[in-house]
Amino acid sequence: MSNKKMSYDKIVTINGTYPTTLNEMYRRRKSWVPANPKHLLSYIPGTVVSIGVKVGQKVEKGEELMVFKAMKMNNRIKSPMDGTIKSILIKKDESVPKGTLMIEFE
Amino acid sequence: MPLDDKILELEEKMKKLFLGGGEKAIAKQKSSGKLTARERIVAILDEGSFHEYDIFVEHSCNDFGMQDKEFAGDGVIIGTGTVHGKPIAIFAQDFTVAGGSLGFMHASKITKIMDYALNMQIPLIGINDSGGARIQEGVNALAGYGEIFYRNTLASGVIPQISVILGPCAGGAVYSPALTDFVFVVDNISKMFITGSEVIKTVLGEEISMEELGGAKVHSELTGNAHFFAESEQQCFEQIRALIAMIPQNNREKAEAVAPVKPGKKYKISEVVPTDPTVPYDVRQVIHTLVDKGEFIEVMEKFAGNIVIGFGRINGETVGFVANQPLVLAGVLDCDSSDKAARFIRYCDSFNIPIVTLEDLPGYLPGIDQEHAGVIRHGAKMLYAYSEATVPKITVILRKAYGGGYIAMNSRHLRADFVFAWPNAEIAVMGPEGAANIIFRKDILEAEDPAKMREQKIQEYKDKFANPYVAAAKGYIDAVITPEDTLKNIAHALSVSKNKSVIRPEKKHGIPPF
Repeated sequence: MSNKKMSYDKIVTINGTYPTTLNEMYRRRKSWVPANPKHLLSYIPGTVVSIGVKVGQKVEKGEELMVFKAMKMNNRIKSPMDGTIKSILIKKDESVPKGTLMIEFE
Repeated sequence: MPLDDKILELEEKMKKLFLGGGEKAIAKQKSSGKLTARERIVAILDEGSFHEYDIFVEHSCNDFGMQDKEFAGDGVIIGTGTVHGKPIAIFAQDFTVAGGSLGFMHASKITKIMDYALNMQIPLIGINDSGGARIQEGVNALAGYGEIFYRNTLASGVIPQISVILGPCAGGAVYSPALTDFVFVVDNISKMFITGSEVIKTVLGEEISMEELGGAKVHSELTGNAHFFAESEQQCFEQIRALIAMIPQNNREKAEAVAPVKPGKKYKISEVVPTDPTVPYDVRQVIHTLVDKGEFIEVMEKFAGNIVIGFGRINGETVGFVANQPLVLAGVLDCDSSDKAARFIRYCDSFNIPIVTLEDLPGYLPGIDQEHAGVIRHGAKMLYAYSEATVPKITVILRKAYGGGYIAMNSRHLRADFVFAWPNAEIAVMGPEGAANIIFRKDILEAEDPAKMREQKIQEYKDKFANPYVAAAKGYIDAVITPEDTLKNIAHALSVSKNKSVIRPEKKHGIPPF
């Protein structure tokens, strides 16, 4: 046995603070950020097949914005809200990782 | 004292107890848009059918000044009644009485009605609206929760257990609903969490509202803790009554059959599914054309929408549907959808409800987040649930059935009783593009025009494997059927499987990848 002193982190529970070692899942924990309703993120990795809207265009909730190919499917991405397109951050044929900001509304 | 006076005395006592926490507390409950506990019970049950028990129960705590306090019925109402004429046991926590807090006698009332339900073999409905454990009662309150959880587990798979969250349900209290079959929530009223936003703010410094932390939407869309979402309490009660009509009273019965009605006519089954495998569609439209009146009770509608589960009737008899949903995430299997479907399959199996599986999926979802989230063990739940189920199991392959997804979606190999496929079904170890890239890698690399060669090889693979006939030649598929004949084939398969009996090796219980 090594005599090296174990180093502990602190964990806070409802009932107090305790020295302990932390697991990997806990360490990788990210702070919670509320979702921005004006941001359209990719919910799955995929490729942009076509974009059907332009910056400044007014769109209605449920209107088709783009075709996004993922898992062998041409998914129709529809507008989550009534609004105006502020910016389009992806290009046709671009492959996009999950969680990427694709379209921003005003 | 003559009997008449005694009766008057009883009436006086009852009148006081019916007021629960008093008029002020009732007014407060109403001002937050909530019904009182008794009103809720009456709204769920058939008119005039409610019989209440234990209204005279008092709390048993003598510490912290509690001996001087009176709590009407100790903050919970229990009783029996009927829904659609079928007997039901029910309890409702009364938030107007000491915040619906759970003490020892409060818990004893709940466990009493749970024991009734289990002995009488009738469904149990529990309405949760409570601030949590009654701190003054200390470990006795905890004991109360434990007794409830134990009974929830004992009754699981024997009688249907329904939880309705109509107020706060916090801390340990959340585990009773979590152990039951179906959890109903109502927008802006239901709140469920282990530790509230105040604690999170103090301990972690993160700010979040109660609604964002554990509101009805969160549990319906993100966590998968809730099965039915309603805009109002009234809508919620209608959902409960509709569900009760669809399911059996206990695990020894079959769901009550009703007079068959023609299926939904809004859609034409042959027109719903596009031939091009890359074009999405709403699989609920297919279900609509198969079930009586087009009526489908969808379970967990907003959570893991890439798989659709729920109940409908075919020829008047209840059937559980499990269907890939190409409209959402291309209908892939992932951690959440596997979890969702697996539990539903086990529910159907426990309560003698045949399962119809509609298959159209490109496989399991690839991704680092999925792998690290444990898609292996979550995905395994599907295989376990289907393999374990001994109710009639029927699969219809509508379009794509690739790879592990093909096996998982109630394939013959997991002991489907009947597997049907449409003529444009593609059953293969993987999609044509991926397969061609691997099998013909060398040919493609060495070709003068690799792109052209790839196209050619993809087509070659498609012609050879992207059809139902290779699988049918091995007997993995029983029949290739036209979309129009789907209902006829399912209905016939169900009618011949009515007396299905399967013998399994004896065991205490399996060890599913929970």
